[in-house]
Amino acid sequence: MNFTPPPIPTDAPILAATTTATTTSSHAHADPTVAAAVAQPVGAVPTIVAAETMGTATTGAQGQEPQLTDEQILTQMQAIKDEEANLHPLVDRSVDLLELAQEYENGSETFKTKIQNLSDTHDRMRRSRGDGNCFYRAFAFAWFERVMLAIKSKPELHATAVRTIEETKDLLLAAQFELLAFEDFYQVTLETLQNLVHYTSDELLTAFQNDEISNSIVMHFRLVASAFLKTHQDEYAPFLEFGQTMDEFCSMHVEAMGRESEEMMLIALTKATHISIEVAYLSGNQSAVEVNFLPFLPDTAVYMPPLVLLYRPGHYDILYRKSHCLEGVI
Amino acid sequence: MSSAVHRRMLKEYMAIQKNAATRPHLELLEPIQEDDLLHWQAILLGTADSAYEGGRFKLDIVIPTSYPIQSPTIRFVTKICHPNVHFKTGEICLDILKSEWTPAWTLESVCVAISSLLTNPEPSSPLNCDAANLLRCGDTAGYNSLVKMYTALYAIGDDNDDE
Repeated sequence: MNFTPPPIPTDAPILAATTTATTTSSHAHADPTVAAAVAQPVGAVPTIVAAETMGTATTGAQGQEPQLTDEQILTQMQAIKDEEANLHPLVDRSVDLLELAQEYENGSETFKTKIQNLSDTHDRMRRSRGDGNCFYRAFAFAWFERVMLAIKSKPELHATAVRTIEETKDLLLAAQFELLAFEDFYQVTLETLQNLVHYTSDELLTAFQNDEISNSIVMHFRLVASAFLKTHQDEYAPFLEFGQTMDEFCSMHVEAMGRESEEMMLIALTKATHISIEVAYLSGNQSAVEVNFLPFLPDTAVYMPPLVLLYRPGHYDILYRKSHCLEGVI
Repeated sequence: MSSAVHRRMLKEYMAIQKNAATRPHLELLEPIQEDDLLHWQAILLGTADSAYEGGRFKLDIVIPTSYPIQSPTIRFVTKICHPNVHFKTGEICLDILKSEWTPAWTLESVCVAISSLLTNPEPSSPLNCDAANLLRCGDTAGYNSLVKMYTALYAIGDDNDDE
């Protein structure tokens, strides 16, 4: 367990702690440490600068662009995203894999062939909304559904899952997250998991389609992935871009809602929850006719067949293998 | 939706009251009215030995119902001269309030971050170009005296509470 001890002995989150720790240099504009740690102002600034320059340059010219504040820009971007997202439920009903093939009816032959080949071993899929959280949501749903369907045949899976989620609390505390900041997400996740004892498939789906429940679970798994990376910096920091700290990476790409996940997050979540995943990569690569499977394995012994996720560039959905599809899971 | 945010705000409120003594630059952080937990105010104190020394800066904080998944909207009510604060609207250009918000923050830690932004301006992404330009061309003395003037004008004395 290696993580930077926070300079402030209070319960301030490490982000803020870092901030206060590096406030030595006064206003050096190019000191990346200070700039980054102090949560440097960025965002829509280039736009504003541009708008200002334009304003002075074209005084008197015809209709100038309205000057939007950062907030307005963010609100508009959010509105566009929401509009997109609301077309699909957060997690959808499962459908026959051939329905996916229909999407490509007039499209790429490569995709069609690959889906055809995939359908030899997998027969159903379930869509997760493409809002940047699809991986976490798909992972959580696939795991919880597995546990729910095996509640009678393999009750120990449920007990293990509950214990695993309970342990994430210690992981988050070890990574210096404030209990106050994460306990609501943690509680919702744990309660949903406990409810699996009496949930039907429809009830589980309803829970995952509910914004508050679903997003809390996504948030919890985001924080868990982040906490794992922060407490294993020695192993994962070398994969970061030059000059980026693990804290920066985590707050920017892991903890913030809607940020898409990359391999590192999959590895982190797999290891933190001891759940193995198999990702079916459905890409337009024409040199292969088979879908590539990439396994993500925990360090501990695998105790359950891997959850299967279907990856198409930029998006994750859930995939069901024929032999243990739905009812016959384990 | 709303019950979750109220539960969370109540927790934050209690934690803030408990921590009050450990936050020297945060004079106040509380809901404006006890029955509305989605609208808060804060008062930041200018750090000693900085150009903001002696100033009391009021913040207006609006909590969206989707908090903490979405960030709170925070602006300065007290006029302040700072490269990353809009002089007229009080809008703050701080990444964690915009694109880099994460639910790992709390109101208290955000206020601490804003407080440390005061002494760590980032002139390369300004909302107040005049203040930023002074810093960018290295005129620290000019910058400090400008900040001191506005601090004395707007943030010292009783009148800043009326705005």
